Amino acid sequence: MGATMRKLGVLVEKDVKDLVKNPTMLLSIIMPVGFTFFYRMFFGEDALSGGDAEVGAALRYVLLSLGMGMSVGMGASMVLIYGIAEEKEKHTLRTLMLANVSAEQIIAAKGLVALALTVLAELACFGVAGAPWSLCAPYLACGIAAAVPMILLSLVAGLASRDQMTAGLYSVPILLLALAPMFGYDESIRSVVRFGPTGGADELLRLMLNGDLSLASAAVPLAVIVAWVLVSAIAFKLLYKRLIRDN
Amino acid sequence: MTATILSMEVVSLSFGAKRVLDDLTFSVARGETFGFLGPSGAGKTSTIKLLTRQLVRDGGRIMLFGRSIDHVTADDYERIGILSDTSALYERLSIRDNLALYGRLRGTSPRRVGHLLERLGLAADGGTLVKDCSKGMRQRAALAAALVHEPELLFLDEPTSGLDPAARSEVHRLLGKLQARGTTVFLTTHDMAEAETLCQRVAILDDGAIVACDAPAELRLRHGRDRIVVRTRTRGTVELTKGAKDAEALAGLMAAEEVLSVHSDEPNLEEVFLELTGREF
Repeated sequence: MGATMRKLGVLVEKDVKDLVKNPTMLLSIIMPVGFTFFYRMFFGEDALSGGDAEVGAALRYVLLSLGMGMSVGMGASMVLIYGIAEEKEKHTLRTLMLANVSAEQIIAAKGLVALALTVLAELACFGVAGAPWSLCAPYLACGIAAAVPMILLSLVAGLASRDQMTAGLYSVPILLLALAPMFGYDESIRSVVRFGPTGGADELLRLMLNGDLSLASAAVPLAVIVAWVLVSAIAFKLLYKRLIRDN
Repeated sequence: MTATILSMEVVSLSFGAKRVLDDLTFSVARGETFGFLGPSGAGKTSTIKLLTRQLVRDGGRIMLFGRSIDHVTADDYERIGILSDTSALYERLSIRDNLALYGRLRGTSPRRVGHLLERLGLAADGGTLVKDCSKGMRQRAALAAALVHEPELLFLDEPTSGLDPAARSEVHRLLGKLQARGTTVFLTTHDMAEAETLCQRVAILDDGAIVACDAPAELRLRHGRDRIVVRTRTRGTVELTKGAKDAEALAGLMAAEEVLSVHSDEPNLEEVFLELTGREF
């Protein structure tokens, strides 16, 4: 147990160090914050906190939903899919495994780093969106609920990627799934995307910001979240042993 | 009797219809430097991959540390160091950071990193990012990463490939020191001269089968030609057979004080390979 935790800690530190020195990855984490800031400027302070409270809440939801979807999408798809694909392409994954590090330890470290970065990006987006700080903890809870299935799916996509070219291909559907709730302005589209991997969390966020959150209204989104966590965990469990090898 | 640290018995491996290894049988003694020689595609890397559980054999028995490879534990793997043909370090990290990473993963002292950098001539370049390193520096750094936990058993797949002569002899010196300390080294190479210098025994592999396995000197003697070469004062170089019929001629040259030097005409390992397989190495 001690050796496992030591190795996990060292791998997390390595992933963070490597990420900090990778401008593309850093940019992908900063992008959600930038977009949230841009949209806040675009909406303007008057629309957000001026006269019409209903409009203000709706726009605040757009900002927070955008921040959450982009943070999850970029964190999961860029950090994980590209990160794992790069390790496979450059054979560092195999070198680590030959140094008596298990596949589980490598995957766990990458997942933890991606989750931490996603939460950090969500926190920054929340700050930039200018929402009341009392909503911060529930917002982050929604963000984590959206991130977990996306991280598990991205781990599978990353392991399936032979190289960074393939990673580019696989990251597109992952990104689209994460961002899907952003296209839910139309009621008919929303009735579909609310059942996606980030749909449940986004629906909870919407209910919370509209003041409609109750046990009854949260039941379906919570069930969607639990279902996606289970589906992605099963997919990960079934596929990762077959995929955990480099080229 | 010296203990066996690893062995293969009638081990075979196929990739689809292609037979890659054919009934390999050999053993390596603890503390021995064992060379696995053969041209590209002979099956050297596949053998290392079998021994390090990167591939699974079709048949036969592989023993490591006295137990079947199927029952080797993670703790046993802490006693092994591997430099594979694809060993790679993190390019955005420095050499020192990479070695510190592998050292910490293996639970060794941070001081060991500095010591290894010194021994491999990388002390001045420790802060260089791997992406800025030459191929030779990368190879030495990868070797250092394989050695960071002072393994009992070291698998080296073409460790000097791509190195300049100075770096190559540095690696040879290091391997000599490891040998003196009792580290068992399983070395694959297609450099016959390297094998002759470093290895106590070698196995020559051709098309997935071992065609000879012995000490390099023994192989050379076994496949030596039946002749001696005599350099003389006035008659140039004279070639004589080792048999009784030329004994008189040699005695005559010696009696006439003509002999400057006498050489046996032993083949090098490359010529042994040619004789065994009928093919150029």
